[in-house]
Amino acid sequence: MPDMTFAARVAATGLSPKPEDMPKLQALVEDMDRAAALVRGPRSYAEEPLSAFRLPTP
Amino acid sequence: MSSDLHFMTIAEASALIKTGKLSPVELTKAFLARIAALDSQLDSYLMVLGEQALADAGRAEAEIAAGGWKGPLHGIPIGLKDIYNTAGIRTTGHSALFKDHVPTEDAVTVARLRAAGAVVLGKLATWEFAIGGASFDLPWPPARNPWNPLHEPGGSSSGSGAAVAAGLAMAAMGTDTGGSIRGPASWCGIAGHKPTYGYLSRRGILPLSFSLDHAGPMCWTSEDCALMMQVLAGHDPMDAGSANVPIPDFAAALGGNMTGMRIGVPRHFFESDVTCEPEILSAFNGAMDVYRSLGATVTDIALPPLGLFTDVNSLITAAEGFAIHGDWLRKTPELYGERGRLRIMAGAFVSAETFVNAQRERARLVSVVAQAMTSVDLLMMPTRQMVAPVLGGYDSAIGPSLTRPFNMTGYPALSICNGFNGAGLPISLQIAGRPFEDHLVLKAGDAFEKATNFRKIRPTLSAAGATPMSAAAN
Repeated sequence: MPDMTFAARVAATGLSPKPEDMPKLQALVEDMDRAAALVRGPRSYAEEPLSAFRLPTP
Repeated sequence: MSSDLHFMTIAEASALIKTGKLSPVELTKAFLARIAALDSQLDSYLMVLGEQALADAGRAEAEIAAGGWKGPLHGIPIGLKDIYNTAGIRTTGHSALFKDHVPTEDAVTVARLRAAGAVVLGKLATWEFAIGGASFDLPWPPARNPWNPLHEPGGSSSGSGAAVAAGLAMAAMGTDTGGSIRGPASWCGIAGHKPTYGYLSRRGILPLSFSLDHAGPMCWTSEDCALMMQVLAGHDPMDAGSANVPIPDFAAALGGNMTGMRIGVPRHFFESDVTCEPEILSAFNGAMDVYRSLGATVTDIALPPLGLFTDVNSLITAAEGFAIHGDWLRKTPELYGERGRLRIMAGAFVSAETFVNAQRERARLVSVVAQAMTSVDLLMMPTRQMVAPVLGGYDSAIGPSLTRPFNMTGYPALSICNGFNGAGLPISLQIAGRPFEDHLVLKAGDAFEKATNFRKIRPTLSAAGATPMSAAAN
């Protein structure tokens, strides 16, 4: 969501951090955004996540 | 063997307790007296359970006298990180949010320890809800490092690491989502074992990240971790992550030499992905020489970049942590300290797409590590690239972490002491193995400890040696 301001992104989460929290929170979120870009791919559509549903074996 | 009761290992004390040469009551009294005399310097305990501990020790003593010795933990005084639920006893997560939280049941691991006759001395300090860092804006102060109370003990199992190193508990329980057992074990110079995911029940432990949280023991030696594992490991059908696998005899696997053991070293992790302090690198290379002298082979191997493991771990922890704390953070954010509040709030910004992609990348990384471990039996590296920094100055969110790959994979990983730097602060070695081969990891740790003299050195604390709190806070 690069076209949203950080304040708008915060508001969308329903959180209300203190004003003095905002710069530190923004730095943490920017690090998350960087990590998110790293895992985006490219990858095969068929590649399953580790959390794929598994039933216990009988 | 140590002549001080508080510096005995479980293996030493239990041999004496079994034969009636050491009284669990006297042992517990010795620990309680030492906590009363010295813990004001370390703040490792949030709550000391003196009366209950003495009652439990008295019961253990009577049972043993009647011929009912239960095993090596019978009558052994231990501490619990304060995210382990204890029936009728406050379990706070070191947070104002849970200041009055009194569970009705023990965590499964706590129940197992009690059934084995362990004596619970008290509840130990942690980073708030096992994330963030040492904080001065919580209802209790942060724990300090017994090797130098001006320094970090590491975290999040900070009180567990400090108490065991200082002889304020013979063993402790920690938890590990990204390194929270091995980090404090590293900086406090003890043995901390993050078991294979699924070996130990997580039920009744305040969660941070369901798919990355591990419970585990923190002790002075690997041998003691093995004795703890024997009691702790076991299937829990009510824990969705619990594995229904045979439990080996962990202690029986110890001893012997390392002949034929193949050690892989992902050297790029700590020589280029992050930069180790020179004394840590030198100590690591010395440790590999020790293993070669014990008959092991040591080979460099390549794994994906350390930063990738760290990033995927961070995304999953953030998303799962916010799923747990989101409602409280919206309603009562003021009940969190700044560090915990901000770290967990950041999880609100991990999208569903990112979370699923992180789990897809995690599956790929697990597969790559599994393939690499077909050619080696163990992986070794430093646990931390630096020794304990000054208290309050460490931020676990910054930079690649040498511990997180084994939360990502769920593989067992042990941190042991690998000597000391010029300032007397502990240096560590991390040993990881294949899933459910914890006994090999502990065997390697035990072999190293017995081949070196680092287990003979303890931190020096005295009742007159209190550190000015204001000096440390600056």
